[in-house]
Formats: sequence, C-alpha cells, structure tokens
Amino acid sequence: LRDALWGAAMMLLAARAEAYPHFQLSTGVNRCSSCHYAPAGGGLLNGFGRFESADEVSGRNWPWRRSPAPAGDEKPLHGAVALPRWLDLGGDARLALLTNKESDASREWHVIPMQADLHGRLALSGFSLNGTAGLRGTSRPRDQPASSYFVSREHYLMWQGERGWYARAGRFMPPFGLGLVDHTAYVRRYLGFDLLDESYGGSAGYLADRFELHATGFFWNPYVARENDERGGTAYGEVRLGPTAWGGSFRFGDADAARRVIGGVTGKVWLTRAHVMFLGEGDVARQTFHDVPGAGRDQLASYLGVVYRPWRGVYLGAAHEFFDEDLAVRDVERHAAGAWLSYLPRAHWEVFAGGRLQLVGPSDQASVAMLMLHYYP
Amino acid sequence: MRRALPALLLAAGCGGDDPAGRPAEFSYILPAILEPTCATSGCHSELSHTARLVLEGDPGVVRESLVAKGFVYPGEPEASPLLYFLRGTYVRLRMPPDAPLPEGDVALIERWIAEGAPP
Repeated sequence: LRDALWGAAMMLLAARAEAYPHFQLSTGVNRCSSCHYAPAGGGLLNGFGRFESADEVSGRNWPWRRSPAPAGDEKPLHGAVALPRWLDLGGDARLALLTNKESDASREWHVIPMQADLHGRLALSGFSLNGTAGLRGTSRPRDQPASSYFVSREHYLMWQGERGWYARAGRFMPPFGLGLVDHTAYVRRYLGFDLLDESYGGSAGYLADRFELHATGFFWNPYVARENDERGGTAYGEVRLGPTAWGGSFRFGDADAARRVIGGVTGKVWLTRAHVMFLGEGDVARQTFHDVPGAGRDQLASYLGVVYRPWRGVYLGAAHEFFDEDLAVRDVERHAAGAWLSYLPRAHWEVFAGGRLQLVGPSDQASVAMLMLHYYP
Repeated sequence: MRRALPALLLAAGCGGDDPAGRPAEFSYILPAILEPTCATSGCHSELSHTARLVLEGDPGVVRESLVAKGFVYPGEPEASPLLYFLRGTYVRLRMPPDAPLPEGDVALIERWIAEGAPP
C-alpha cells in the first residue's frame, strides 16, 4: 500500500511508454513482445512481463530490506485491485533532476516532470483496444497553452492471431531500429522518432520465435504542422540467432516541405558469461526539399552502445552516437558520448543516473547530467 | 577527448568540403535546419509554441513571424536577435538549449538574413 501511495503521488507530480532494448536477450527472453502487449515492445506489460519485472529484471528487494523471496507485488497496481481478464492497466511516471550546459553559456538546472501516462487495454477474443493518456513533459513551460500538456501518444485497435500474425490501426510509433527509450538519441530525434512523433496509420506483421516482421503505413500526426507531417511507411525485420539479434529498417516519408528515405541496420550481441551486451544501429537518409529545386542532402546517424549487467537489477551502459545532417557540408556533424546507471531495486521502480557530452561541429559542445525516478504502477 | 571521439566512430570523417551550395532561402532553412532542431514537441512546435514562437509550418508564415516579432531584421544580421540566440551572445540562454546548432548552419542563416531574408 505504501508503494502504491508513493506511485500515486508520483503520477500526480509528473508528465512514451518504453522498454529498454537491452532487456531483450539479456533476460533470457528472445522477443520484446513476450513481455509487452505491443507487437514490437514498449508500453504496457503483459502478465509474463509483470512477472519478469520482479523475477528477472529487478533486484526484487530494497537494498535495506533484503529477503530471499521475490517481492511478489509485480501485479498491476501492486495487486491492490484484482483486474478481470479482459482489462489491464498500468502507467509510467518519470521525474527528473537535470542540469545542462552549452559551451560558454551558463549552467541550467531543471526539475522536469518528464512523463505521466496511464495505459489501458481492453481485450476480447483476439481483439484489443490499447491506449495511453497523460501529460507530456516539459522543461521550459514558457507561454505554452495548458491544453497542449494533455496528450495521448498511442491508441489503437489490434488483432492478434494465435499463429503470430497481427494487425493494428490507430496512433502508434512504428517499429524501426533499436527503439531506444531516450528520445534525444540521434537515431530517434533526427530521423522522425522523437517525442510525440507517433502518427495515425495501420500496421501488420508476423512474430515468431526466431524472427519478426513489421510493416506500417502512416498518414497523420495531429501534433505536427501540416507542412512537416509526413505520409509514408516503415518496415522492420529482425532475425535472432542464439544470443544475438539482427535487424533491418526502412522508412519513407513525404511531407509538403520535404521527402525523406531512410534505411538502417541494427544488431545486438549478448555475451552470456560476461553479462555484457553490445548493441548498435546505423541509418542513412536521403532528403529532398520540394520548394527548393535541386536541394537535397544525405545524412548518417549511428548508435553504438554497451550494457553491463553485474547483477540482477543493475545495468551500466555507455554509448557513442553520431549524426551528420549533410554529408556534403563540412563541420555540421555531431558526436555524443554518454554513460548511465539504471538501478531497478524491485518491480515498479527504477532509479536512473546518466550523463552525456555532445560535440557539435568543430567548436561547440553541450553536456547534460540527469537523475531520474521512474515508477510504473 | 574531442579529437579521440571521432576516431571511435564508424562514420568519422564523412563530412566533406562545404561547397557553400546550400540555398540561403527560408524554404530550405526552415525544414532543413530550424524545424528538426527547434520545433521539437515541447519547444517551438505548433503544439507547444514556447514563448509564442512557432518554427515549423508554412515557410512564408514563419518568416513573417520572425520579422514581425523582431527576431530577424532583413539585411541586418548584426542587429538580428535570432543570431544572438543561436550564438549565445547578449542572451542568457543559447538556443537550442540542449545543444547548439553547428556554426555552419548558423552561418547559413546569417547569410540568409544578410541577403535580405528571402522566402
């Protein structure tokens, strides 16, 4: 009950439901959809995911009150309410203390309610209605309309067959790349997968133990200006060979202002004995601009990371990122190096601490450090 | 560190000479530079329009807004506050606050203003 009260307090304080890509393979589970209702992972946990959150992912106990038994409170809402089989509920609340500094500028400090989302799922014989609703995060709420804080990032109707096929229609983030949680990662932010970049569309795919395929068409994002709102599609395929996963991604988007084609590859390698995962993504993009004849550019974005799991509930990570907005232009590339600690003492809770240094062009830099408390009821 | 990081990257050294061939037109600058970096959902997007400034949408409308609100003085880059914000001169907070624009991009915006801020 105390945990539930703390959680409720956080939900009141705070503003995309995600999973961490390193949970795949490292927890002994091959595919993200084993633990999530969403076919490519992220968002609301299913029953097995709930069990894994306490039994495998988290440390089970608070450090000051250890017992050999699992905490046993991984159920939705800490088991306070018994939910019928056709209903599932959850949420994500993230509250962060963050400081950032750019080159010679003065240092900024923020307490940011990053996320406060409730997730719900109604299911009936292969069909389900899935949705999130909550508050978006903001760090500098200067003159922003109050109504803009209330958002629903995802809501879709889904059909799932018993043989691995699925189809869904509504608003959701199409499967692409590693699916990193951090929306500021270059492979997300600059390629059309930033916060609130979910569009309305339809998707179909096939999930098997050794591979999965996803194809999505999208046409409208109400949170983006019409001129920038892309219509197009994505495709993502992944093959799993032992403790490794290899993927290929494709995205086409056409808006009034510009057209963009992106192709990419991903890879994950879990070294079981060393408790270490290497994961990476590389994408190339070609963008052309409709109102400027002849104008176009080629872009490159990459992410290369390593995650070490010394013991259950503790993950240490580091990554290098690269983004070149125009390969034909000198000195517009960005590099980022980051390191982080994710501590999950028990189900429902995570403490995250991390830092990131960005080098922009030949002479500028920016750094950020963040301490974040994450609660999922 | 600054010199070592690029060597760690597969794609290091991909940037070529700037041919200065990028068009100093707002129809290019807005979707290529400002919208991806400034119009994120929580900042200068139509959704949030932080500080009542929207940096996405119709280039003509956004350009007029920048001029009308005194961020851009066509033909006068040294007097245009937009460049102060992008370079962090005379202002408390450099924009974008999470990471600056590459100087090459700011230089292109400066050239656009100097050439009269054409649409």
